[in-house]
Amino acid sequence: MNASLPMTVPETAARILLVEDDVAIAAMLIEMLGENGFAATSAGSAPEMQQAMQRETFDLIVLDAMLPGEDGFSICRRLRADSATPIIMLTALGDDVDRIVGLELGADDYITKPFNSRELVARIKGLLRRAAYSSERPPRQEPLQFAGWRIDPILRQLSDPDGVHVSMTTAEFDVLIAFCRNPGRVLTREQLLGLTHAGLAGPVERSIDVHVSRVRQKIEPNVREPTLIKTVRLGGYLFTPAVERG
Amino acid sequence: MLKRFQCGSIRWQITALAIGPLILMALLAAVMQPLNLIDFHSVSDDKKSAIRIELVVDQVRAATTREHVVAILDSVNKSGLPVEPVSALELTGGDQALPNGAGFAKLVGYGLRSDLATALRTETADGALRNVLVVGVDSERALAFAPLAKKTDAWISDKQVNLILKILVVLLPVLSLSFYAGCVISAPLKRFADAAETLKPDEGPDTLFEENGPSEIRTLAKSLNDMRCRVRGMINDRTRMLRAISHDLRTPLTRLRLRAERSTQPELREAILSDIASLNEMIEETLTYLSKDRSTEKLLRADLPSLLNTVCSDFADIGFAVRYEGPDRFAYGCKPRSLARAVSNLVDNGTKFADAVTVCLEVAANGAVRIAVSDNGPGLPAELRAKVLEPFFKADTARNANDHSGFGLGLSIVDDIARSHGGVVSLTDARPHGLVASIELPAEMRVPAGATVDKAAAAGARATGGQGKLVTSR
Repeated sequence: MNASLPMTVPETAARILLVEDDVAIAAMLIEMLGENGFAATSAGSAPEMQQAMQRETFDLIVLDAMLPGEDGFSICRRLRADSATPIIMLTALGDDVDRIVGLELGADDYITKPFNSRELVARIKGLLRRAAYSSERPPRQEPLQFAGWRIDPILRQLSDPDGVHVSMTTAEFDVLIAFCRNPGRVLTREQLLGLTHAGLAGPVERSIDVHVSRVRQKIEPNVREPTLIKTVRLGGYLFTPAVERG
Repeated sequence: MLKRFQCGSIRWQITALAIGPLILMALLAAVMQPLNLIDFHSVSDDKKSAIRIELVVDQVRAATTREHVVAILDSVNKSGLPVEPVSALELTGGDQALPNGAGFAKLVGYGLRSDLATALRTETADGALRNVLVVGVDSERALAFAPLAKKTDAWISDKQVNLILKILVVLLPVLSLSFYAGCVISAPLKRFADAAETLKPDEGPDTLFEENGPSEIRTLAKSLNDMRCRVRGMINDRTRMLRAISHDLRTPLTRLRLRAERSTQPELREAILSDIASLNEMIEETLTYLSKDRSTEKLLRADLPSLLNTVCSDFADIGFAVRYEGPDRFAYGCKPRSLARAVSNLVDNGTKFADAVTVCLEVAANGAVRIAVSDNGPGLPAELRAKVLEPFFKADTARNANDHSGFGLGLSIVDDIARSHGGVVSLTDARPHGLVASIELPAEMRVPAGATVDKAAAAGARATGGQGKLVTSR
């Protein structure tokens, strides 16, 4: 069922393709996305998706991992081969292997079923913002190194100069990877919010400052006098070390 | 021949083992029987005695006085060669047959100078010694020598040595044959035991047990290999089933959740959303308990404070008062994801019953680690403490659990993870009230050389297949 709702949204709305085989979920998501100002179309399988993509171009694809016929991972890989359209994977299997596989195949984000629809909307907005903000699409996924530290965006692992694994929360990792992709540039709090999922984790709204201070706690040699992440008065934060591919 | 022996049935091997050595022993004994080794009599001993006798005779001949002769004989007696003066008449009348073992018989022939007159006497007319060799000194005097006292200092006699040698000659081949054959028979069993010891149902080749050796062993190996395949099949089925269940349950849950979010009755919506959350939690919990991820995670050196801080932050971000106390940096070889899961289960448990939870890291001087999660809740009666670690046990009646109590697998998972790290979980009272759940881990687990994060990460990337190339080539 291709429930496109072009009438209810303005022309400039971001076009989203939802590939989901469960009819009820698809219908509710389409409606919900429409209510949030997106122009959403749904496809129930890989061939339907193909047809929809021939008809129009999409700004973002929400892709279910488990589909009849060709599964979401395979579609993701195929799409990535010739397009940079942001992809959010919907997975019912919340384990890390799926997440890593999905991200390695080129998905930009993932969300586990059952999800909160507000969270899906927030992630879609985040990705669209990131796509608009970052001239270089998609963001580099290979491991990066700074000041002896090594950060791997796919495995979401950080290790210190001695090779010791350092754990981080999702938001902290997102903040750090945002810094690593923009070294030597002042990032405002708004930019950081846009580049990360920070703030949509739960009922407690944490400001970017809290996450930055936690990151400092983990990576700065001396937390009182931070040298890696410097605060810029009235501006935001500056990531000072040189970042190279690791 | 050996091949056929090795591949024959164990029944025949044992029969052959029992009969073969018996026949061999009989044969050897039969061959050995005539070889009753000649009575050893040391020729050199005879020679020595002969020389001494000649010396004594010469000294007596050269002695000028009667006292001198007595002194010589006395000292010879004392030196262990019994001697006494007898009349020269003893020399006449030929040799008497001495009883066997007197030992002097061959002395005459072997050693003594031919100019000495000798005779063997069982006893002499005027002497006390018996079974003697009489040697003439001159026309009137003679000396009677008793056999040299046998040296008895050896703990084993020549005859005994002889007997032992014979037994060894018969037994050694038989024993070694038996031992070798026993080894040949038991070798496949030993291999079995080793293979079974290191058996992991989900790793290694399909045919772990070599199908060779005796026929019984071959049959056993075949059935064990079949069994292993079946177990593997069952594990795969289970994994598939778990994935299917998790998918099939989560799809309607997603539907339900989306429907609930559209509800116009806020109270009903909140109640349904809470039920969905607890259902989802139960699915997660079961999958975690049953999944194999925990045991396959690699050991790596991880910074424990950052790990614990991350767990605390995750809880703090969803509105619980959870804080970390302890050192700022401490690297420890562990399975970080599992350990984080264990600590979060403990913290999660704490947040259900208390309003403040503290995660403490203590490092002992010897490097042993204690992660203590303490809460200020009502605590747990001592009699329930061992039980709560068991799977599917819920202490709901004792601790007013809310709806989100799950399946009662949380602490079992913690226990499993602590054990996989070589540690233990203990539950104690907190002051003034509350529960302290501690994971006690031994000093530094051995991290395989070079297993730093980078390599583990690289291995992880490889393990997820060649798709990694897509990313790097982009």
